[in-house]
Amino acid sequence: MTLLRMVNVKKHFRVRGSLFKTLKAVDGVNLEVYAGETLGLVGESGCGKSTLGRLAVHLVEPTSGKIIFDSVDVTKLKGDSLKSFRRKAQIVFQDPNSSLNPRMTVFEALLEPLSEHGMLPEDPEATLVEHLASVGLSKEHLHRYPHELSGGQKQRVALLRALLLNPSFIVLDEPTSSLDVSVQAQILNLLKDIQRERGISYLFISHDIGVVRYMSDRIAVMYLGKIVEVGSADAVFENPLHPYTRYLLASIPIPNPKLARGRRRELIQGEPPSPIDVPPGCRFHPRCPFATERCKREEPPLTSVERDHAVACWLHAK
Amino acid sequence: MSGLEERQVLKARNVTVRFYTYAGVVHAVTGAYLDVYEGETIAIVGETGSGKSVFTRALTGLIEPPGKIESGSVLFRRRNGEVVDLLKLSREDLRRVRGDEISYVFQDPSSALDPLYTAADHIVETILVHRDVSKGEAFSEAVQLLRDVAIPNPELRAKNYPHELSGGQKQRVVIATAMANKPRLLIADEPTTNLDVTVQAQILDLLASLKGKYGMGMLLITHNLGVVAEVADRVYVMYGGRIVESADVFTIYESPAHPYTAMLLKSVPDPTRKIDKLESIPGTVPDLIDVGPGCLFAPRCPFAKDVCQRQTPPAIELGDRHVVHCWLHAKR
Repeated sequence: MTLLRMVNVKKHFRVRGSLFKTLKAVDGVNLEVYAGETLGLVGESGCGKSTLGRLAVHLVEPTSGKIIFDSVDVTKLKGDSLKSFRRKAQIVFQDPNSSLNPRMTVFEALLEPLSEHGMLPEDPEATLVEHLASVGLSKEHLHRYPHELSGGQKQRVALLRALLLNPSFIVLDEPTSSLDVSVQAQILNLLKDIQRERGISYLFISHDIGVVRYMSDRIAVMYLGKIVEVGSADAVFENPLHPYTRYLLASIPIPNPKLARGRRRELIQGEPPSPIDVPPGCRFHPRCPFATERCKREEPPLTSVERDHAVACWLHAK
Repeated sequence: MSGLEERQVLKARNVTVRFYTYAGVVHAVTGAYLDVYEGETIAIVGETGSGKSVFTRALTGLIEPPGKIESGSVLFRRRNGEVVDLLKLSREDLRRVRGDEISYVFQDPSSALDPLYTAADHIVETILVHRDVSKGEAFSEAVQLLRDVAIPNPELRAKNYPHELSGGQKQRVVIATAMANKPRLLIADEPTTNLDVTVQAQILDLLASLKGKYGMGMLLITHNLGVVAEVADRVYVMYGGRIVESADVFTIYESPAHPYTAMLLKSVPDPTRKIDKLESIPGTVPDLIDVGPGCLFAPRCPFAKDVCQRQTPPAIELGDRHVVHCWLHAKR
């Protein structure tokens, strides 16, 4: 069952100091998130994955396109119905130091979303202590300020803040990138446990492909504002079709010295072009060794090649 | 104090660094050691606060107050064959070694480069400080170095300011600057942490080829166990300011002896495999203010015994230069 569907969603930003230039952060994305699944979103910095995450919870207004959540177009929501969407769709950011107010204790930070949405419990303190336990924290943390918590603890608070409103969808934007690996593993396992218990859908955004593989049922690969490949995690990892996906996977360091040294890898040259000057045709053609004349002129559509696996590349067009 | 073995570039022993802060004395590095041989890539792995950066900065005395190097020796074989203890050199002599025979590459290229200097300016300055060549010669060397680090159009790029370069290119300029005087030892502290994986792979390839070309030793400091598996010959694992295990890279990954090393490796999501459940290490890294006796990993260690809480574990040699600091391996 589809929980969230994005239809040809675009987000263009005006470039300061220029009348004609726009930064095409997200440039025509079609994507679905199913109920209870984790969709991993990978791509390099500047590819638009964070903007796409913000669009999914309607934190930014799309330039065009539809974002359908629970069969309602959220771009048209106002007033109470928008507020009820906000409760159902939450987001957790990378850095808890900037998402938590340094002047609010954990108690105050957790109470705020509850009172905002009229969900205040009778005995807030007792209820919140119960909730703290669900993310591996305890009563002793309730009246602390963010600076009195470790990075992992802060991220647990940020996560709990999102969970308190019983959302059905959470965008996780690099939620463990600022944490050490041993703590990262704790948070990732916690996220999986919560999903198993409550059936929440995640859009999991990360540049760490190992983390995305661990977390995701399906994976979408983004390049310069477009989805270039999407499919089940196994399909994308075991049988990557887009040349960009292949290069991306080949460049990940493997935590196994024998495997790492045994493989022959071809590295992609250069860096992604600016989303202000998007190349015509397929956006990847200037870096693609297989590019043909057609790739330089026509943009390949995202087409299904096998069950639960679609790619936007002329090489795989029938 | 013994000297250096043949082909050994660096030998650090018993390096201890403390920081005297208002909150108390931070035992940042305690009794750390390190051996680097010519042409070798050594990785120092650890999480936040493990002391890996402080230790490698202390190797050339790069510790500012309130930090203080309390003890230790760092023997280094200079280009002319002379062996010196870097921690006994004067500031002036140390400056002559740094940037010439030992150079550093840090994590953030934006803060390593001066925004008012062009790419070539950085390299030229590094050359002129250490060598008696003309400005023109230094400039042509700079262009050649930029070519060596695979910057396209090096003649043009040499005149670019940092803001005109991408993140990957900035790090290449920093590496070119570090290579300017063909150092005997390159110390790279999280050199690819801010970069995308595709660029990271390019930079790691570049460092490996430069190492081969110049026959230098390389010391790589990182928290990324994937990067270590890709490039390191030998690995030192640090925890709580101490070395807890060291061995060749295959031994570390295939038969780690310290519980921390083993648990750390299991907490890394491997992109090549489908994993059902990651193992995580309960608890958090220790506070290094006024540390007591005992093994610092004991509070998080599932195998901790009484002795672990009371006494610092000794260094135990397991053969083939595999050393572990853990009571579990001590003979009764």
